[in-house]
Amino acid sequence: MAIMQLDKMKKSIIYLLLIFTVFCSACDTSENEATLSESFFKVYDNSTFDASYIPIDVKQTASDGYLILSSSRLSSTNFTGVNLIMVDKDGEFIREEVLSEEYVNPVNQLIKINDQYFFMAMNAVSLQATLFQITDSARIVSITPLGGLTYPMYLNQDGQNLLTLSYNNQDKNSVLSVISTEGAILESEGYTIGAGPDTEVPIISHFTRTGKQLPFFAGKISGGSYFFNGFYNYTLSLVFSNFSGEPVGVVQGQQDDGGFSSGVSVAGANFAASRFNFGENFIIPTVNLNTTGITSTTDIIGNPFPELVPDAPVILKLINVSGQQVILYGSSTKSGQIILMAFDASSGILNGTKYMGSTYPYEIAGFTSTSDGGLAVIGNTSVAGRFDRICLFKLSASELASLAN
Amino acid sequence: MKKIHCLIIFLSVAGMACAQPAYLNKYNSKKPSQGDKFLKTQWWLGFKAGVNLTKATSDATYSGYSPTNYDASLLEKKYDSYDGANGQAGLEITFYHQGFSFSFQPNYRRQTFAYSNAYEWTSSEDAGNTISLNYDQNHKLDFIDLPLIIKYDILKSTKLRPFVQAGFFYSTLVSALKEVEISGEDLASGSAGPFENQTVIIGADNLFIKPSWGYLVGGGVAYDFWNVRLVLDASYRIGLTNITNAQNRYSENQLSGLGDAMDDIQLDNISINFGLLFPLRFISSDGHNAVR
Repeated sequence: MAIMQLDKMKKSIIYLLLIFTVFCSACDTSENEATLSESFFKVYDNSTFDASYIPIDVKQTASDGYLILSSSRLSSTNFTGVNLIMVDKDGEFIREEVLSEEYVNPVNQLIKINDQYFFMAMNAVSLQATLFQITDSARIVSITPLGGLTYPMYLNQDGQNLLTLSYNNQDKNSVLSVISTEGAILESEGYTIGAGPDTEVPIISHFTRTGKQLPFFAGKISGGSYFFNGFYNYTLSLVFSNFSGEPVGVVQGQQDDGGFSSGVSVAGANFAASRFNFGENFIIPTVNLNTTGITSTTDIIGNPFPELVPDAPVILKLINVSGQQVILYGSSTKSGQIILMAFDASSGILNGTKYMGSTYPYEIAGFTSTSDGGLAVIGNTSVAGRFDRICLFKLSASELASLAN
Repeated sequence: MKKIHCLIIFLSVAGMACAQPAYLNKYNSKKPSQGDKFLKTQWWLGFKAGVNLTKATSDATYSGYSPTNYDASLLEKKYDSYDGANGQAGLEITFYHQGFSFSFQPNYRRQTFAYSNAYEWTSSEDAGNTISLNYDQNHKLDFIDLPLIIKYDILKSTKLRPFVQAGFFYSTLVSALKEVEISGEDLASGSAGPFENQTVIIGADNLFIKPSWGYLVGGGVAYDFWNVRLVLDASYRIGLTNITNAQNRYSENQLSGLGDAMDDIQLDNISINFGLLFPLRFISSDGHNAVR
């Protein structure tokens, strides 16, 4: 009898242990895994008290890492130096290329054409615009002075060529140019900012960072003329050009107190844009601009966004999210966060917003789509509330889709 | 790895179960009485409560910062081990049979762990311009804990019964809080001493996964008097789950501002419990004395 009981007990224990084992197998936590490269956040910290970085733009490389174009404060001049930072696909810092102080004031954007990367900066002595070609490991391939172009303000892609906006302080002209990737000027036209010594003050203050940072940009209407947002006839204006002397059309701002803060052609004269006016900000996801006449930005109503900082910098791009075209705005809020706003490209309806960063202030500098369908957002943060450092947010494809849809 | 742990525990406890005491192999010609049967089997039900201490072990380190001019190892977190006692309370339901007890002990428990980060910035032109910051990060995690334990009484016929125990636990996270205290020293501002800055408290449920599990080993002593049993036991609980939610490592805005990202963490824990158990089976003819 005792032996039978013992056998029963052994069986019971073994059954119980089997149940335990199955129970523990059921506690499966293997799904608690994440591919780091899909979603991460990094601050590129430098332990030097005096270091101060200003991010400009970011591009993903062929190896799924990132190239960051940035600027840094120099102790010897009001101009800012040029820094290139290479990080891996997980956002970890790999190397930094600090250019000679001979070159200053890198401009938005960092352009990628056929796996070649280009950016534009200024010669600190001659003030000449200079085109740089770099590798995806942030090494300089070539440095090409752009003859006749000074005070570079913006660089954009134009097919296999480049579109530049610069300022000629001898002739007091905003200059729009198409250049080859080798630095040859293919087309160029200057537009007067207006006579008088005070007209260029906001432009010079922009360069020395002693005044307002102005939203210079340039682009091309799909299948049509070029446009630039710069000074023309005493005001910050959106100027349409076909490189034939006088502008084709102008949307005037309010000197440097109002105008467009971003703009991109969605389809012909239909634009997505944003504007500022004496500190106020308006998001305009869809507007048909008069590209052949003279109008005013104040006639375009737009959606007011009082949560943005006064005269907010706005990054605007058309991106593809899960096969759908989305108008994505990025800006900086009064609460010190980066905000992304996704609008449907066809209807202009706001689909979603996302806020990034907290505790210490954050400001947006740029963003780019990534090969995994996500988004990389580059910005500035004040580490410990004191030190200006570059930060990189990587959103996964699902995070971007939930924002955009 | 998890399967290996399961197998080790399965084999060890099965071995313990099968390693029968010598007297059980002897033939007992005496017919067991009804009282003897009762003496070999009993159900116990009661309350348990106690204290616990936690140690967090990092398997892989992460940071919101990526240094550009100093070694990344300086960003590694410093964990406090078994710092700060917390409590747990719950029920114990135990089936006793011939020296072995099979026990289910559901309880609500709070575990805490802490780590700190330290950063320093120094001027390249004036070494006196230095600021150092310390982030002390405390985490309070509340779990519903469901342990299944097998005990073996080393002495069976005495009032004072020492025992050893081993088992598994499955826990589900109820809530989590993270508290970050910021302090430091700002020599650049002319300060002569340290300062304490604000404390940031955030709900941290999303930073951790809900389920976790592990195994425990320990021992204790039971003392029978009147019709109750007092139990004092201690267990070392070894967590086998990375409790950090990997998908939300960088998702908390408030923490990203501080450059914080949770490591892959497993929690080990020392738990000491005091229990009061009541027998559920009685021999009515013996004046309601409990069967043991």
